[in-house]
Amino acid sequence: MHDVMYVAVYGVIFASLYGIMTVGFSLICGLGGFYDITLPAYMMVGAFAIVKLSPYVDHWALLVVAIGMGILCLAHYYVFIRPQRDNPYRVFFATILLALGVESIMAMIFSGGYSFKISPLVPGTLELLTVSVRRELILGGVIGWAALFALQYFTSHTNMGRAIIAIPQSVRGSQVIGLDVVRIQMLVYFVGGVLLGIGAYFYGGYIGVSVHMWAYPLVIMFTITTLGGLGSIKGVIYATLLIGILEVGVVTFIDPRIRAFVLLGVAVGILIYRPKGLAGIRIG
Amino acid sequence: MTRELYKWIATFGVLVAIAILMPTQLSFVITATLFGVFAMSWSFFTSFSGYLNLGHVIFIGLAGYTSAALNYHLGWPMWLCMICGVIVGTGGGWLYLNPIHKRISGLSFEMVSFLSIIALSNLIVSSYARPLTGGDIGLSPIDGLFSELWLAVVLALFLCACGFAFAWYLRSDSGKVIDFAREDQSIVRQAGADPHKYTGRLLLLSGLVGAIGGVVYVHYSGAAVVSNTFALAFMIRIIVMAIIGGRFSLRGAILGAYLVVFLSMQLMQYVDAYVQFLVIYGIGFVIYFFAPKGLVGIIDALWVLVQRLARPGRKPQDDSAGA
Repeated sequence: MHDVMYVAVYGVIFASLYGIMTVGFSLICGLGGFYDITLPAYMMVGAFAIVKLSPYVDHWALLVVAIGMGILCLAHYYVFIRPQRDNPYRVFFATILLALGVESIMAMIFSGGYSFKISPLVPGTLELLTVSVRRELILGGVIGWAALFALQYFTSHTNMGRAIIAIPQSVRGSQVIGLDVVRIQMLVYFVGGVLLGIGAYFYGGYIGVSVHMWAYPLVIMFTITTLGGLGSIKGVIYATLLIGILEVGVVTFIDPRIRAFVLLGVAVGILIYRPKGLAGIRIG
Repeated sequence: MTRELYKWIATFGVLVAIAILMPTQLSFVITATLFGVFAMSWSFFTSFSGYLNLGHVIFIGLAGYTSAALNYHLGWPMWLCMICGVIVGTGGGWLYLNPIHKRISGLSFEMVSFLSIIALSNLIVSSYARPLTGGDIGLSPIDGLFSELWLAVVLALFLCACGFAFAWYLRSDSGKVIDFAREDQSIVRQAGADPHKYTGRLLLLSGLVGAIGGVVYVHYSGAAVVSNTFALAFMIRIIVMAIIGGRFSLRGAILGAYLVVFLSMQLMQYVDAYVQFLVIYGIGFVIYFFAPKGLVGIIDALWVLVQRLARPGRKPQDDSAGA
């Protein structure tokens, strides 16, 4: 019974962390019709930035890095994505090379094999439904879910938010009615980057920061995006909850190293039998 | 096709000459030839089917690990292990990727094949698979192949024979169907054919050659570990080689493989592995975006220029199409 409660509690907490890391990825994919593989690599950069800045600015590192990540993702869009955004295959392959390049650079600077720690914002543990949870993680979970619901409200109750959801349905139609697709993509990249920075803090704080930490979150992001459906925040919310609980369940009851395989199996199943996912549009 | 055959014979001659002229660097020559096998087999499917297959190492890794596991755990002779490895690698990889490429199209296929490598790498080192695969440490020692001239010559012969076979296939009726399918699959369907049947064959042939390369590579390396089989960096290296040499060119993939391996050999003396990766990814990035036809495209363009300068007013001969 304790294991079941463990899965439920940690599943919900990790779901929120995965959700805020994925929501930018999903919106970017939906808006542009491409997968940007560099985003999880930038998440890794954000985690290292937090490790290095924390001794100087203490817990303000979270805010500084979150905004810095937003600016980094915006610059990334402007330099690498915008010139070729009409060719999704070129974007896909370019971002793979970029991600590996970023990993190599970080490995040179920080010695590839080591893992670093982020000091917790809120130390200590708390008993939640008989499960002992780090306070840091609970805070991350609360922030994550708040951000997801705030985004969902934004996209359903504001004109800009509705535009973000409308564009993936029909890019041409959106341009005809006067929506500035490039400007909206830039906004999504910035917001996605900020959320990645927040996710990097809590996720990196839990698993440890290393140059290889970005590969598995990419699997998570892809699975949640596929399951939830591209360009749909509501879909991301449903999917991240399912995937969070599934992942923690696999880790608890089976083997941690098999989780990527299980998640990929879910993604392949969805792509074959329900390509739109739970609430989104189909890509490719 | 006679002209194509002469080109491949000439290519074989060049590769053997390199092996003979560099007796102290045979290890690099053999490694370059093996990567030429991987790059050419990858390019054969990806360039001509229109599907960007980022899971080509599934064939290589499955074949290599099967061969190594049989040799390590059961002590079977190397040649028998290699045959079994090729069968398992080709069959397993094709049974996994073929249904996926039939049911999932476009970027989603690329993502699934790409992420499969990450998932398989994790599976290989998991506690479930560790008794069989050796986990992080891998399987070693296994029976090995050594840096000898005969191996370099046999590999070069295999590489060129496969290249000629691929070129012949692409010019056959099946190859013409694949050309149409790459442009628009509905054209092929309207003619009453199933485009996936043809691209599936391409995948099988590509996987078979990759698997053969995989078993040789693992026994030449002396160990089966994730880094020389299923690693993401290994897959991207193969792709970069094919891109540098030239997409849509089988000989281009071989050229790219030799260049990257010899460049790595030179860089190794001065910088560490991560800088080598950066240089290679950087070159791949630049060529992909600014010279998409790769070095073969540049050489073809120069050849056309030379012909124009040598005989002004006469239309230059362009035999750069296909392989």
